[in-house]
Amino acid sequence: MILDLLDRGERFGLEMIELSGGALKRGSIYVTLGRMEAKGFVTSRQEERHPGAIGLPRRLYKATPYGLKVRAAYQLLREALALKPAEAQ
Amino acid sequence: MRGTRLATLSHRLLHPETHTLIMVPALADLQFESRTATRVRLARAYTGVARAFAGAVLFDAARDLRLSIGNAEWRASRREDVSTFGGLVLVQAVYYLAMLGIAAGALEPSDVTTGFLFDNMLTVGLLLGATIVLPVVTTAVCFWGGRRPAGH
Repeated sequence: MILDLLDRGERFGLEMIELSGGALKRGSIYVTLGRMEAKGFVTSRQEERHPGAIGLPRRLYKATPYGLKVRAAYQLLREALALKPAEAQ
Repeated sequence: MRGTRLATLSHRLLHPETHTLIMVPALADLQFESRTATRVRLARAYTGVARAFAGAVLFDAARDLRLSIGNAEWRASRREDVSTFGGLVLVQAVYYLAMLGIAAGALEPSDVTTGFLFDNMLTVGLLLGATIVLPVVTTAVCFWGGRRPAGH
């Protein structure tokens, strides 16, 4: 789901939570994104900030080409498993 | 600024990359959201950050466990850490127990027979619990910070 949301470009964590319509939770998304980044599925960078901006810099996430390939492979697998035995032959 | 204390705690307790990859984005989004959020939404955001912190702690623990498998040097250094940690806790616990012993010595023998201790089991239990919890907390704060210095 995260890779689906990142298919169309860079997004903030909070943005993905809102777009997922409740499927992604605040408590788990950052841990999941951290793990995905460690595995090379996504990359992230800090947002560009104006001088004098207060608070911590937010992080923008982007799917890597490898992440998108994994997503495509997963979709293929899901479709193959969804086929009825007659269609699969 | 919201979440500053949690950021300090996370910076102190977690591995630097875990702090940067998990806690900083969670806290940054909390700070961003807090500018416009209602109280309910803010409470939900705080719960989310607290859960992210718990997840980050588990993430670190899992990584430490993975590292411990097949890494004798790492295991040896951890063993040293555990024995230092245990020693520091023990020294403080003995001190608190001695203080409790002195306080108990001030009681009259009749206090025991009249059921003073039994009437105050909750107090006694809390004091004994504190002799264990306090040393663990103070040692964790002082010792852990030393193992994971800021900025590394």
